[in-house]
Amino acid sequence: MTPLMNSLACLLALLPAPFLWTTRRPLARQGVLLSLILVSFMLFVFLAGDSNDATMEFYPLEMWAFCLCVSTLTLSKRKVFFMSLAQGLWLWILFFGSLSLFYRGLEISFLSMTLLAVGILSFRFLKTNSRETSFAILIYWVGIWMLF
Amino acid sequence: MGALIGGLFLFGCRKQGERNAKAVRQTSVREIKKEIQMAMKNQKPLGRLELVPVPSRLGAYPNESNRFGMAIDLDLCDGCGECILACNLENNIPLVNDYQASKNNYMHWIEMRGNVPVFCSHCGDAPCEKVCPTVAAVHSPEGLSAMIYARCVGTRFCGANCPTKVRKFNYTDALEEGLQYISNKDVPIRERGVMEKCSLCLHRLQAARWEAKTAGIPWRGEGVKTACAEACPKGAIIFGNWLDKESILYREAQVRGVYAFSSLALFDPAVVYFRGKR
Amino acid sequence: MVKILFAIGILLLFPGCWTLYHAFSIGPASWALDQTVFWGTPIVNFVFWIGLAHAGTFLSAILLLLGARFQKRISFIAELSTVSSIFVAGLFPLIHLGVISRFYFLVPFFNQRDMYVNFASPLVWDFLAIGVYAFLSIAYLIVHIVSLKHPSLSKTRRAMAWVLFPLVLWVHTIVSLDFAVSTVPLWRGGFLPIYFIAGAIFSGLALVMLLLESTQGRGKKLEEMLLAGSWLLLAFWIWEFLQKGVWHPEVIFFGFLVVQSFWITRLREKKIVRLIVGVSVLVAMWWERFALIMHSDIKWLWSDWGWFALGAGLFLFIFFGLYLLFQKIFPELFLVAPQESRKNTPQRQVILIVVFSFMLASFYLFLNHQYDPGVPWVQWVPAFFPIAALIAGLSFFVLGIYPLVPKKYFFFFSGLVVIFVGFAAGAFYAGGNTDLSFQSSPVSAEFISKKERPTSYLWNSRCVSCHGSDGLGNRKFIYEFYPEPQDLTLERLVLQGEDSLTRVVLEGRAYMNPFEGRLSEPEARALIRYMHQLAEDKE
Repeated sequence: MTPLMNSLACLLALLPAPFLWTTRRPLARQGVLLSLILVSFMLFVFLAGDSNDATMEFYPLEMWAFCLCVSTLTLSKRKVFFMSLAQGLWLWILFFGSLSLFYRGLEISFLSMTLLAVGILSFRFLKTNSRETSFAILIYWVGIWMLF
Repeated sequence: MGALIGGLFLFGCRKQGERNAKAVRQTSVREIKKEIQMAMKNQKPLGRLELVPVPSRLGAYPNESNRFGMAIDLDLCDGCGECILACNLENNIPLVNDYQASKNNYMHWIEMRGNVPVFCSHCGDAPCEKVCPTVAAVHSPEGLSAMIYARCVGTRFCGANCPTKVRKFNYTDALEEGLQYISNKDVPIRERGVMEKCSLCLHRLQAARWEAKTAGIPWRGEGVKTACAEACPKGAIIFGNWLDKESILYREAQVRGVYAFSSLALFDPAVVYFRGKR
Repeated sequence: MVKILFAIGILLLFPGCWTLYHAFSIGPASWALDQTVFWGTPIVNFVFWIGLAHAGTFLSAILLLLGARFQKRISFIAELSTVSSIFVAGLFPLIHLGVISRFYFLVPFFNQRDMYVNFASPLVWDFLAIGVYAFLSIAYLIVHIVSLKHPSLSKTRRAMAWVLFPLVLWVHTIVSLDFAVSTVPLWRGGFLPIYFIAGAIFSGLALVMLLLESTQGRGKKLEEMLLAGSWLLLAFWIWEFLQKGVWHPEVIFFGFLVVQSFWITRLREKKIVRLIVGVSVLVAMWWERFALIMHSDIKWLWSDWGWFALGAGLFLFIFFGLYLLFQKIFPELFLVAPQESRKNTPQRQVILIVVFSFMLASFYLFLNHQYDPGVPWVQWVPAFFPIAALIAGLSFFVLGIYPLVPKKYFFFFSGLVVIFVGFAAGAFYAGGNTDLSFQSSPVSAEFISKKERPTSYLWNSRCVSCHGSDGLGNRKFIYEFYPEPQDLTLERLVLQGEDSLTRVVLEGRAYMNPFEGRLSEPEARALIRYMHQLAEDKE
């Protein structure tokens, strides 16, 4: 995937994030909403991605996890807990996705995984309620997405 | 529950040796030939071949001076099936019962696909070995993908993961059903439930290697031929050492087009096909 | 209703056990397989049942941690279904083995009897993870039952839920890796781990819903979750189609379209509709696994049908059997939900246990690693966590139970456990007999014994493996087996004299093997002279 498409994917993933938890929906509708967002990511990757690149197999899931990560910034209760969960999901997708590609001879890049692990372990010590830290965390995630 | 009881019951209660003695039939070449004819009638198509580099030293054994392999000259091979017969006799490959035959499940290590002999390619980076849980499928430093039958538990992961599906699983108890013959004492009989495949006539290599060591001469695999290479009436099967610049195999490979299955191309196969000029 | 289902389970066990017996006596040939499709219906059933097991843990442990209130009512049913289905699931891979009596070869037990395992193989991770999962699920259920009488134990329950939460996801991820790491085009996919988890929880929710309907009544939240899950699965099915070009209309019909009837409230109120939807989801998810694993048309045999009877029968038998049993002995289990306290295990204790379990797990893997240096560390990670989880879960369990049980019983039971574990370890250590009737001598006798062969041939074939080609010992041999052969220096040879050395060669001494019968006396003398020559060459 070209850097341009990568940043486009980042924007696309950021787009629905602020609106995920603003209104209280029934569980089923929330599920439908999240699934539809995932489907739209999948379609985007299918059209814009490089079909020879094996990492595309879990790229939409990564976008989804990234989107969930960002959406936790809008939460008011148990923010740190869900933040860790969402980052854990992202890490999970990355690690096990690249582990299965490792058997096909692809290298694993550990840098983004390490940064995510650092995020999981250290964000509990931040005052996540303030706007500035939220923004810094957002920048941290976007950085992981864009650079690695 | 049944499995638990069964498992406990079976735990450590294998007496393989006692059973081996009885019910071994006399070699009947006619019967084996008939089975080979049947197998050759029902051929699968040959997969796509593509050009690959000449096999070279294995990354895991940088100091090793041998890597054995084979090449099949597709310009000479006419798919007569003599190699299958020779292989079956050399390796004591059992016959199969009627039910397995009806499903086209033969134990032949060499099978014809589109009139081309296909067998294990002894990949340097073999996918079957990576997934074997008990290290029954291992690589020898000399480049053979070997099977340790006594370690095999029969999870069949290797067979599922082999892109060319050349591994054979012993579905039937050949000894019990009287389908086993022993024509070569140097090759062990495989019991029901283990995987097997082309060993590149490991026993011949091993015997020759010991003799070379006994005589104190460097071992490069000279003078050894696999059973199929010996039997091929056209001389289309060339066995040799890929790292020996003097071997016929290596010299041929320099001037011929070297092909392997596309599905295997990434895994560094040691058994390749020659076709046309380079 | 419960008794009827229990009876159905027993009835189904008859054909099920017959199939099992058949499979044991005939081996893998008894169900549909051939030389290209090596994984058949037992593996389909395994993935199906292990998936069903996960929803129980999801509903009870994960929702406990997420703070969902409705999990209280269903947690007992959910945990019971986990324990029952994990037992069913564990049965199938065992049946599937070619040589069942060698199942213990898969246990990573260091290098005992040279039986080290390949940690790069997902099957080893599978074996570890599922074993640990089954063990901790049972412990979790016990804690649940005991916490009715001793509310202080709900602390332990929370702690164990924290262990089970990642473990359950880990288990199914590993099951998905069985397929994702392979070269089979249809099994490929870096998205498989998450896909499998979603599928497992989806199918398990349907099972718990059905169980709830048949025992206690409705679970409205479960229906909502089923609806949400069907859409998530649809997303994955779309992605599978985009990636591999395969899709299964039956799966989408039963797994997605039928579930959508829950949107219409009037249909959803009818019990029969809810039952139909639950069964339909189970059918769809079985079919999905089947389409993934057995991507080829082979004719089914009756055994393949028998696995349904075995799986369902065994599940109904265990689940409703335990249900009836608990109803008799712990009737309060069905009346009161376990008390939930927000109190956690003290943080220092948690940190201590986590560090302890991680260290012990690393040590265990390190010991195994001694024998297998070829596998990169990434491939040890999937095996690492289940071991750590076992140690941590067990520690929480023991620490929780310890104050509640009288000391006498505690030591009695832990003594029993230690004896059992010791017995198992001893059995593993001893193992079965692997008697290979085949043995061939490396070098043919004729080759060496020909008259014109020089003595160096004899030396090379008989002595080099220990003494080395130069008579100074084979280093590799000394590293691997401790007895160090004597250095055959000139001084030593002269001192001992030819006659006594010949006797040593023929009769042996200390670690030296006797060669009488394998060597004639003139040959032995010739060898001694050859040793002299070697020693002289070096001086």
